[in-house]
Amino acid sequence: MTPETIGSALLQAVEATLAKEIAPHLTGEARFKTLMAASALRMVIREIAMADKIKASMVAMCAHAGTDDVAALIRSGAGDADAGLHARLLEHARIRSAVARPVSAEKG
Amino acid sequence: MDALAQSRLGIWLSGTLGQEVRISHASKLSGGAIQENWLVETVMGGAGRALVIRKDAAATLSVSHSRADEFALITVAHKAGVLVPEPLAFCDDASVLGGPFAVMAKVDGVGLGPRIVKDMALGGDRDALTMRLGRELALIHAVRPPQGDLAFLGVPPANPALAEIGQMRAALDAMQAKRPALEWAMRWAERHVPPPDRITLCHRDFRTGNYMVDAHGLTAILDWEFAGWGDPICDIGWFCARCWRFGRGDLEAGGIGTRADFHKGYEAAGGGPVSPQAVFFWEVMAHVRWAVIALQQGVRHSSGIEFSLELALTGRITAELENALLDMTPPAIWTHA
Repeated sequence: MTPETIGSALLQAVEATLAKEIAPHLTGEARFKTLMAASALRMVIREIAMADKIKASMVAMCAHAGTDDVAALIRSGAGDADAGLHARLLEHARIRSAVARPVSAEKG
Repeated sequence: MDALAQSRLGIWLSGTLGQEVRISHASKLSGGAIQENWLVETVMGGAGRALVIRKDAAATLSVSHSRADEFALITVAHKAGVLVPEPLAFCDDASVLGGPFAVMAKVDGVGLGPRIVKDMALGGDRDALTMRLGRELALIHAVRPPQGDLAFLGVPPANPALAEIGQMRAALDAMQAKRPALEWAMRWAERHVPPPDRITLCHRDFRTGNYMVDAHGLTAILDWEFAGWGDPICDIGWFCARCWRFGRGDLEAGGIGTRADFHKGYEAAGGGPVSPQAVFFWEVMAHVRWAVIALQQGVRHSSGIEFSLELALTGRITAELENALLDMTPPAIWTHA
């Protein structure tokens, strides 16, 4: 078992404690913030689990663009309608979105 | 608000409104570093009337102007027939409550976006509500520059669409934020700028969550702090953008109704024809703008300006918005590439 796995397991325990053991005893602002903290922990857990995919998709995007500053390349117009670039941007965005989505769905 | 302040407020209101006003109760609605909202129960002309006081807290001059500006905007909107809390008076005499404040009629209703979308007991007939919101937007857009009372809004942009793209890029640069997906969407937008429409007053935050409803229908259009001169279609794009439908993606008008009803209400009230292409452009820019605002919120936390887990999490919304933007702007729709 790697230290990262231990870290993730600990985070899962903290998240479950907040969401299932503490939050049910709270009301109002305290309950809202506790559930928000649990939600943030779930995001971190997903981010750790998907770290390799996030990095690989970023590397693929930069490799296709031929630069580490993909944002500047796109703003310059050099990536206009580039289907390969769009596919790599989308792959990266989907992974990042999967990390964040449950939290964003809770936002009002 | 202690008894002495209530007494001073009553005297000032009596003189300003031209009738005796007695304060029976005052309670703080919400607090913050720069603003206080108070619910003030009064007896006015023998009848009870509830007011809302929006006050700058220990203000700097610039913050003081923002309350005055907001009051001016709501006053102009009210005169134009827009359903806003009735603006009653503005006081810039700090001796009354310690800082400038606006007085408005209290409006009842629910404003929380997710609740309005989900709770069908709110808002009355949804088709009628959707058309009514279109009508309200048309009334806002009937206000054209120049307006002496809105001089603080500055000179209208020659091309609001290009100006918006420039502002979003500048905002990213100010945060030193490298966001390829946002750049992709803005580059698409830059190459597909719609022909300039008329320039009107734009609310710039006209969406579900920023109006109030009761069981029968609309009660008020709120949150005017982003209003400015611009392309009116930007408000339609903001209202209809998927990111503001609160889980009801099928109800394209704000998660509460159809585009057809929204446009019907808009056009019937003189809002002019709505170009679907222009609306789509502004829906793309709505996602960009919300993504940039979310990043700015995240930076408020990460920079140490304001500790807030909620702000930190808001910054993370950007990823989902970027995903949506890439889905909206695939290479196949780059018609001018």
